[in-house]
Amino acid sequence: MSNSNNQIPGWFSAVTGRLVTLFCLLLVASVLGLSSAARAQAPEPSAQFFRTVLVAGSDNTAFNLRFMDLLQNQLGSRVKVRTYTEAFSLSHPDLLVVALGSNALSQVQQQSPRPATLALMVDENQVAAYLGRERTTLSAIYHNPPLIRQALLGKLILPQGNQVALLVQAGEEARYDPLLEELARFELEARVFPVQGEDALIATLARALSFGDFLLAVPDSAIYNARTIKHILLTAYRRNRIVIGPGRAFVRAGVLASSYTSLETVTAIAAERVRQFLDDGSLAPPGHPERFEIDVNRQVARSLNIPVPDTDELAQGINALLQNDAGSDNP
Amino acid sequence: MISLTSTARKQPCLIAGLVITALPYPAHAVDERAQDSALPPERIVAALDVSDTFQPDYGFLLEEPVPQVLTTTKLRQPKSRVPGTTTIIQGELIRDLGILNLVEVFRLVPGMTMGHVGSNSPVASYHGTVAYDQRRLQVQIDGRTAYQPNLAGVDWNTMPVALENIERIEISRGPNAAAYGINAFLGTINIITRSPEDTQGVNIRTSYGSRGHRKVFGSVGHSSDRYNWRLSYQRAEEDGYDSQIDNDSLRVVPFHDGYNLDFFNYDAHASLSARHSLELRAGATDGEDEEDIRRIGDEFGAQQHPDIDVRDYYLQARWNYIQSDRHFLHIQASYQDYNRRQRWRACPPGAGFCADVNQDIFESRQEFELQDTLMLSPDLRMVSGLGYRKDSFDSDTYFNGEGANYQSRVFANIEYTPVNWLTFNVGGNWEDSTTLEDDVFSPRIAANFQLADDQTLRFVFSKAVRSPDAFEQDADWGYRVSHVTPDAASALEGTRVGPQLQASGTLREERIISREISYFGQFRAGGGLLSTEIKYFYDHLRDIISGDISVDDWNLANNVALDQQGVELEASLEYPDTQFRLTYAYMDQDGEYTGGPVVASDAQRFIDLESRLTAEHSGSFVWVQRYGFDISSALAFYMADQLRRGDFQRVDLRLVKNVYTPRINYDVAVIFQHYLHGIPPLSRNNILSNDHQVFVEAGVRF
Repeated sequence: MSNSNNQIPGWFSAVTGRLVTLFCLLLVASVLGLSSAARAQAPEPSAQFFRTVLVAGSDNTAFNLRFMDLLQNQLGSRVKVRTYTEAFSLSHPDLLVVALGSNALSQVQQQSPRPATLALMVDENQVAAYLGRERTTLSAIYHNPPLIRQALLGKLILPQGNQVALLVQAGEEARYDPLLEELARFELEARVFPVQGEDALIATLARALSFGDFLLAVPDSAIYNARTIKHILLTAYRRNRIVIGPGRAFVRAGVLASSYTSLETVTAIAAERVRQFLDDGSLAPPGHPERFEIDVNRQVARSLNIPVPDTDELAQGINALLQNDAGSDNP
Repeated sequence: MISLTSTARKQPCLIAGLVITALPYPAHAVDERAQDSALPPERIVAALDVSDTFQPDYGFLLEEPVPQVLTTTKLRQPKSRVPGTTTIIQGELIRDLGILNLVEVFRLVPGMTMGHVGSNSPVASYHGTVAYDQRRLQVQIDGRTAYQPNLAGVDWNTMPVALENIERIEISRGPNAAAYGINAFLGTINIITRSPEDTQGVNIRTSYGSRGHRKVFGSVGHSSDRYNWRLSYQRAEEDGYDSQIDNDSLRVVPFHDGYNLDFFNYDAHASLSARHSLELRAGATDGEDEEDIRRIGDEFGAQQHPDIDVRDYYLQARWNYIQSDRHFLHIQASYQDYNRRQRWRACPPGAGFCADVNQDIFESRQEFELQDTLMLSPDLRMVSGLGYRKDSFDSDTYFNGEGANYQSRVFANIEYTPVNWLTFNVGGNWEDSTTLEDDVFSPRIAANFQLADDQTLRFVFSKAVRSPDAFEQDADWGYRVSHVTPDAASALEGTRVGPQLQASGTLREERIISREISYFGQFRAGGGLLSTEIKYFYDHLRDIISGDISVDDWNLANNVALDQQGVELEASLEYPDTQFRLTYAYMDQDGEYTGGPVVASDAQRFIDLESRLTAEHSGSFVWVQRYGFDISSALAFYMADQLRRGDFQRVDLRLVKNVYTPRINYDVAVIFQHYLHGIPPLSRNNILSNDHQVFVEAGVRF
């Protein structure tokens, strides 16, 4: 090696390397540039074929694939769904990035400049930290069902109940004040019972159940998780109290019912927002999907001797209550 | 994300090429192996959830006491599949209504009546058939038989369970020998206490009021992943009835019939592994149950009140094994010890001596049960098991020594739902006991028709027997004297003096054939929920043992046949803030004397003896109302007509103010009880000086 180096001057080697690098960069730029130019110059509608949306996936690869397939189907062949990379996004800062989960959202939002982002599979808390930042175009379709909807589900399943108990982490009581006011409009009296640490969970639950006709589970994994849900459910059911929420997986674990939005529906709503962005560059504000489904654990309902209406009827009932409430707000 | 590293910088073409190549095909380049997994969408969605480590089922609910009906067949069944009417009284309702004594809960059960047949010893019955004690009900606390082993009565005052610890009470109304064996003749009461897993923290409650009622309850508990426990203490005091009628002067005199008792209970649940768990329970009752000097009999010439010193304890262990959500079993063993010392100084009139006599009795019960539940499919489930019991007694007065009875049994129940609108239950209990002449098989067959989603029609046929208890069959009753004075009568020392009784030992088992048609329905009504259960029954009771039980007047025999038929209703209507509950029972009883030749009045007396708590009409009405500011009220009306001496009617009102703070709940309440009937319905000695009774109570939980 040392001989070769002696035979080839250093400057030659350096120049050769730089030329190769330049050639490669030109190659990349030409390919991308050509496609970009083609997109810019081609007349409508053929230009639509080159519209692109990026998807920043979660750690769950199978889920990412499933979502991208669904999104691609929803958007049709005129829009291409591509996996997000920071490099590509930086080189195409005008492309919308769909972020799946809080980790992906965090990653995309650390990019500078930040691309327009549509966050999915996240909850309000995970998005709240990024909202309000300057030069941020951020939308989200929240994964967790809105608590008001869950509470109304409980009201429809248990029309004779009007007292709702919520277990929350100590220090977070005030966050639920707006919800409590909202529930009061539906003649539901809700009360928050703060859990002062894991050791006090069941004791607090027992006190909460002495108040509530049903327990409204908030999407807080510190309280409702795989380790605690068994104890919570058994304690509630032994006292003939039902539990609503926080999500569909909990229904499979023995919760009586929860509303949820299926991946197909979330994808359809996401596709609408993507199309809107592609059309006019705007993104709807973050929010819960208006379309939802209900999952009921019928075996638990039978065990508790609770007659539960058909899930479509429940969903319609919730929508009717929400529409009536909106109507009364806007006479 | 791909980042440029120092290595990558040496291969710029390769990186650029990869970027270009990969971009158009993101969905297929990420992980081909993942595509092969082909997870269903819902599983994929769930994988993002915090609950991704959940079991795919909720089998843990199957072995735990969720509020399905457990008592009737020992299978957890929704009411639509239970082979028989079952009343469930939630502990919360008991506390909401301000019920102060356990036995009074049963006034809420259609067909059940309760009263104080003698003094302050309460008796609860289903369909009557009570002379002095109710011997035809199976009573269990957490699966542990709780009636007295050899006298077969139920001592409700000393029962080691505090109202505050009751999760719920299931009353299976109808013969249930198919699941519980002899003594579950008319029904089964199963008192289920709160799991120690649910009673973490401190709970303190006290009440004070009329008739010397004083009660203090406290419990402390702790929960962890592996071990949950609760320690409870209760002090209960009551003065009993205010007055009685003196037999000689017929004057109203004070009644000494109260009690003061201390209860200690320890309940624990240990999770040994995901499949194994252990439940441990222990408890002790200590105190005094007062007995009035006039009630023991003038012939004794008792010199002081023959109060009963109560010292009971129990130990119970249960090992649960959950092989899967389709197969689980438990083995339960318990030991109970009942020690009653009742001693007094007697100077029989005209006998010329005084001596110490007693009615001591020491009883114990060892019980063992293996129960296996197998679910071959959601529509085919089976519970089966083995039981063994030894009831021992030691009483010089009642048995002239000691003895024991042994019982072995095998039971099973199969629930089969061939189509979604029809469920069959077939069950039976084969039993061999030293109290039986031959082994006995008690069957039950039921068909439940699902008329609609929430409406079920049941047809139930069952047979059961009750064997005579040890005292009825083997009584050897007499009073041995000690510390005899004066010395001139010392020859009597250690001998039985006065009347003695030797039971004939020829009693046969009682038999019942029961037929039931019942309906259970739930309806949504104007923002509320209406639940209703109606039962028609037609029961034939044969060889009923009736007669006087007294040392100088004993004529027990299988000499009564009863045909009972009637209708029972249990309904609840729940609205936001408002709950109504109604029970009503109508029973028509035809009795026939089937014993040896007697005059007609005596024949009727044998029938009447077993009818002291038999009511033609009985029922209850409850109205629980919540108001603002966490104030609520509960109004209850109880009635039973034509008991031994007349009707029983009472109205209760409880007003409570609850306070819920982030760290502590507390409440204060006042309870009013008003007796509407004129005369004591069962015994002329049960006199209350005031028809109005007032109690206050307060509780705190943190």
